[in-house]
Amino acid sequence: MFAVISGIYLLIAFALNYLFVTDSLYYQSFGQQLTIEQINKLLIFFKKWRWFSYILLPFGILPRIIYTTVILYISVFLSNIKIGLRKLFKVALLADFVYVLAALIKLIILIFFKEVNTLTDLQFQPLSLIELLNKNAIDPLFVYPLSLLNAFELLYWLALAWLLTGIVNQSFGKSLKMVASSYGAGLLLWVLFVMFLTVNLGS
Amino acid sequence: MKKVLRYLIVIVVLGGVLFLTSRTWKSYQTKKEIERRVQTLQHCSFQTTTGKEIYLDEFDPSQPTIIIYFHPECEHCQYEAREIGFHADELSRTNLVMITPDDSIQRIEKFARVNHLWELNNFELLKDSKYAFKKYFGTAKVPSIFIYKNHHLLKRYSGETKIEAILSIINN
Repeated sequence: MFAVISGIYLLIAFALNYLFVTDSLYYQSFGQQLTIEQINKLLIFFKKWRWFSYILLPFGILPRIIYTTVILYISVFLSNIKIGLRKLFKVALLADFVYVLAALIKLIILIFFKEVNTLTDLQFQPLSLIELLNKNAIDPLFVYPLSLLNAFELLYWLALAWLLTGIVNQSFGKSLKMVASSYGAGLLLWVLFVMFLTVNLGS
Repeated sequence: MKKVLRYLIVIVVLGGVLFLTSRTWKSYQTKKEIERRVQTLQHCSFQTTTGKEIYLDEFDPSQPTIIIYFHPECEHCQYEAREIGFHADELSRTNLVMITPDDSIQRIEKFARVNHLWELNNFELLKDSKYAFKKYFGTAKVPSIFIYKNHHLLKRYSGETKIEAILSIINN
């Protein structure tokens, strides 16, 4: 199943690169600050290492799935529910299809409904709060938390709770509460950590 | 045992939330304050290679002051310096100040020499030996470019920047 998820992500990444990441996109993105020669150098570099980003992609997905599995395991362990790590890993894997769906919808919106002129246009988060606001007016510190407030994140929580209900003998409401207190708390810490890095490492 | 563990996790999570929130907020406030201060050329000094103290706000304010933070071994900074050397004439009516955290005077002077920076009319090569640049300008990234006129910030660039972009700012 992990191979399927990775495969779909790879296809989407390839489609995004093939359809949108053209030379002119780089010229338009960096043209105000860099010369044509400098952008050409960048292009050579990016084209040379693009294959490497495809290889890295599964390694970007795996930590998220392991992270959700471990967080859920701690939660069920403390709730005196006996479920193996393997079953929870499967829950995390299945729930990850929500993010696959998000990536697919993003691709569809980019193809049919959105104009892509610069690399920033490719960073848009479908159905998120940040898309309703003026991005240029948002302080970089709040970009990540605002982009996380999206319909797919909510759907991911609901999917996790629904999948947990399937393996734990408890109501959907209780499972959702379990997800909120475990995954939610972990996510809150993660968001704060990213914000901490943004403000301290960003120039 | 599990009850203790549960409390322990709650304490760790709450502790983490409080710690990260307070540190982030503190850093954010500091950053905002620097961003506010950087809008005006500050009364701060850096040393020349001979040890003379130079204050940045003492250059002729009526002509643009271009401050470039660099390191002689940074490839992007070498590009920037080369471009400045090539366009010395067009930059003749500016105060060009290049500041580096590098402590090798030999390397700094060679950097200025090979890039023809001494040919500029108003050129100063300064050392940031106390690493104070970040305190005043909020960044220590090289190259970083700040362009002022009448002590007011016109534009800032982070990273390699084409000379045409700099010239368009000082000529407007």
